[in-house]
Amino acid sequence: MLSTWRSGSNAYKTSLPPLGGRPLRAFIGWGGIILKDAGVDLLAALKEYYRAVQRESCGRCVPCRVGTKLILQILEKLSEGDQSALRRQLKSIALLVQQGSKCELGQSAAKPALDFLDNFDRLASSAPGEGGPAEYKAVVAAPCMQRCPAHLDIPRYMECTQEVRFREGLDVIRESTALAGVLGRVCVHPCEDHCRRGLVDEPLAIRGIKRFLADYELGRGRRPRLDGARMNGRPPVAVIGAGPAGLSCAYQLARRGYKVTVYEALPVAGGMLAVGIPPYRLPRDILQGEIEAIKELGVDIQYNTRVGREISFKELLQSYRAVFIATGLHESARMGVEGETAGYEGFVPGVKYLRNLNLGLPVPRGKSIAVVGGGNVAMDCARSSVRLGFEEVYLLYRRSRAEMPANECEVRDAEAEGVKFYFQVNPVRIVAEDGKVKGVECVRMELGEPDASGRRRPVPVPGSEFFLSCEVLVPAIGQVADLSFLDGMEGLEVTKGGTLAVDPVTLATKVPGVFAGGDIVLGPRTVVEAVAQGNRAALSIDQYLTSGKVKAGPQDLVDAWLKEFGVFDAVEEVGLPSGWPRKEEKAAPVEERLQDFREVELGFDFDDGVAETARCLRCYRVGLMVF
Amino acid sequence: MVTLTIDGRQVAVPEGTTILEAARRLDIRIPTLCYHPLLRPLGYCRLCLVAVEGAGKPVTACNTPVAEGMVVHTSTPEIEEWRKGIIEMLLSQHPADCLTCEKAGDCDLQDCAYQAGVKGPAWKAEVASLPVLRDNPFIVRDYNKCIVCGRCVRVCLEVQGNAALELVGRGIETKAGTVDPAGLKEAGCVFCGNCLQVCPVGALTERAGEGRGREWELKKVRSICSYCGVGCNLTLYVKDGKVVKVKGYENPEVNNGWLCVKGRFGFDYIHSPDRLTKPLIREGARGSGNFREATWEEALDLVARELREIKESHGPDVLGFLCSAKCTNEENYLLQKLARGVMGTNNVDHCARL
Repeated sequence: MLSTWRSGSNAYKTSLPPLGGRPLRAFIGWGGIILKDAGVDLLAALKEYYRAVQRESCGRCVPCRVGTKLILQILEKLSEGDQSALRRQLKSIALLVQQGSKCELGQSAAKPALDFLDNFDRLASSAPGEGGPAEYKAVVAAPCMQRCPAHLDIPRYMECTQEVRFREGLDVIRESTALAGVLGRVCVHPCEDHCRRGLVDEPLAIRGIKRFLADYELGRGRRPRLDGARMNGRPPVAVIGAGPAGLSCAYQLARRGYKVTVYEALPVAGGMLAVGIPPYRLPRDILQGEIEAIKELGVDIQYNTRVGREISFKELLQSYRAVFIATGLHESARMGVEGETAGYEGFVPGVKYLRNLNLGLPVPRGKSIAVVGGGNVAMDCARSSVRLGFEEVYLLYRRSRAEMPANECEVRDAEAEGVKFYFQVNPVRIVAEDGKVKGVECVRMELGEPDASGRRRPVPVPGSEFFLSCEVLVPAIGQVADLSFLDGMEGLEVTKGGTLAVDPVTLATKVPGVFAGGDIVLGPRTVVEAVAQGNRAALSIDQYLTSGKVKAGPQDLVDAWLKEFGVFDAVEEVGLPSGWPRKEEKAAPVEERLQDFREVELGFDFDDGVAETARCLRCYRVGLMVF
Repeated sequence: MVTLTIDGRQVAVPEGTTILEAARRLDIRIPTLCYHPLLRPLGYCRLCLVAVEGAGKPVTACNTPVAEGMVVHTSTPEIEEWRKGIIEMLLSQHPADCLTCEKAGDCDLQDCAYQAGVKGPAWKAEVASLPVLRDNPFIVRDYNKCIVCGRCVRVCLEVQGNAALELVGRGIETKAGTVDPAGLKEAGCVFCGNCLQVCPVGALTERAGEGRGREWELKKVRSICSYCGVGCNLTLYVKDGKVVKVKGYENPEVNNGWLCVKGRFGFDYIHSPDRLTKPLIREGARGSGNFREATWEEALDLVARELREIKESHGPDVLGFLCSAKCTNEENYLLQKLARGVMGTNNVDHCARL
């Protein structure tokens, strides 16, 4: 074993996970060389590596475009013998490629050549070819792209934006999702946590750029346009639930030429995007515009059609050769406190509160409201209540601010809009008079030992009970599934958490032809994870309907490998000067935004949008697996 | 304002200023190739790499904004070595035909190589030779000489708003090209030639000027385009009293150097034997085709006399005045003044309306 690969903590990396069970003999990539088998012909592998780099090089900057080609040429000459003059040339070229390339692709691609030269004596003395001829597999990864559950090609649409090729940027996004405008607004952007620019100063506004591109299209008077094969003779597929998972699955299947029918229980499509997330975060015309574009690909959405009521699950199985279950979690978890099931006026669970609000159905009104919970649903309930005209909006959370699962920006905005936070407080009893909520009895909590989630477990402080007066009480402490529509279905497994059990990669259930994804599988999670699962399910369904079998594909294996190997190094020293601040999206002032449910965040203008992308380090990295 | 130090000298510049712009305020020259002051900087060529204290890697001066307290060195032995290396890399895939290149003497790559003391390519990159494209009457495209600065792509997009050009290919094969591989016309090119104006090397050259004079033989004459009233500033490239080619003159008050197809390529009328260079007065019957040369004085007297006679015998409204988009606003104003104020008719129209 020989490794030149150092992580930011300076330790040599020696672990080389197998690819789908197949062991690697060596890996050449952005951090150097990991050689497990001395019999590998390293020079041949290096040449293959630089051929892969040349294929990936965008050709914009001189060191990467020309330099990596010259490295390849010199390596080819080196095969003819050890020529020290050539090695000196190689070193000076590789150094220039490392120091002078425009993006990480070129900068990191110089490392294997430099490491090869630095360890020439040891590496050249290996016995090439002993292990038999090598097989190669080139991989391209970027930390942001790998971190995104849907693996959006982020560096590419950043570059398109930088070069004002907006249409192309949208096409890149739409390879992975039809919901550019939606995700551009409500995505929790895990990609930004793995943005290497963030190691220098602040991460790129990746989500904001996605929105910028989607908005630019609309601003030009164009409707979202999706490309794909129109409906053809491929078998019909049923999707249950028109939320982000269901819509994504339908979109990707329609692009492959399948006739997809989506069964939606509600009168609107979008799932939680339509009846969970409030319009001030996601204007409905944006959502419906993108759904219309999916429908134009030939996807049929049957509204007001609840599977288990209007049509049975068994009927679906008879009419369709494949079914994707993406019904989400549309029930609230119980708090388990006294009075919760009494049916008091003024008591409404969070998910129902938001659903009724968004469907124009009645919700309890009054002067004061208390929302229980610390997640995004609780924030949505509280911030919506401010807009409904409640004078006092309380938010009760049993841990401290730092432990809140809600996005920081949501908490910040809620505070700015006047929501009053009660931290380390838990309700114990609902107080009602004549069947109407009058308030809630609470107890103060203190933080004890960390629990399974790593967060410190809150425990009640004896004798600290107090009464909080309110007319409306909204618990938003979790979401659960209603799986009653599956009644009598043999073979579908339900987990302890009340979600559907599926193969974690292919999303296949134990019933052939039945797949499931989104919150119904993951539990209450994010839109982008739902999109990723919808996409993946479409792949499985396509596989199932063409070959009858479903298994992990080559890209699944590579993704799993990259995840295990690691593409992002949180302690890496990037070596760039800091102080190039991130552009922030404009937002409506508090006094304006509280008048109604108008959108709070206003996006980037042209100059800011394009300027922000100049900060992208374009962290593509090329790796070469040697088998 | 942001204060920073460049080569030991302090300078305060507005937030968002690039290192390159800040350096230019101090008259510190940083070599560039892909940078163009009128186009968005993208940091392609890497010639403007500078060292920033505290950072392990150099950054491009053209598109890195200044930061408070930044200490920049624009010329260290290491930086100079890299610049030389970059030029050598460019030359390694560039035809060595400066002897006969149309761009010789006006080539940014030549200048950069000269200033950096690079004598020639240290290596030769193995690249396929590309055909020289003469698929239109105006622009010759020799992408063997393209250094992928992206200026032509940017000018087409940012100035012309046309997006007919893009960078095509990967790796060493990357070149500027057209969005439709079939050619410029097919890609929607309007032949404004602004790409040609910004091309730093001999990749894009004027077809009309081919073989008609070296850069140092050509006299540069400032002029104004006569095609319309905008008054775009031109530089006429003249040899032996003949206009060989036309470029835009960078007058920021008017056209910033940008031109349209007419102003840049439509100059053959200048030396046309059919061009009227003196007033002619018809002799004999209409249609007989007999004209004689006259002085401006005689010609104008004749026109004035005839107009007056027509007005007196038939009234002013039998007269009509047509003016031209080739005239300035002021000239057009004067013509309608002549019609209304002197001749007494409102029959005034303009060719742009027809």
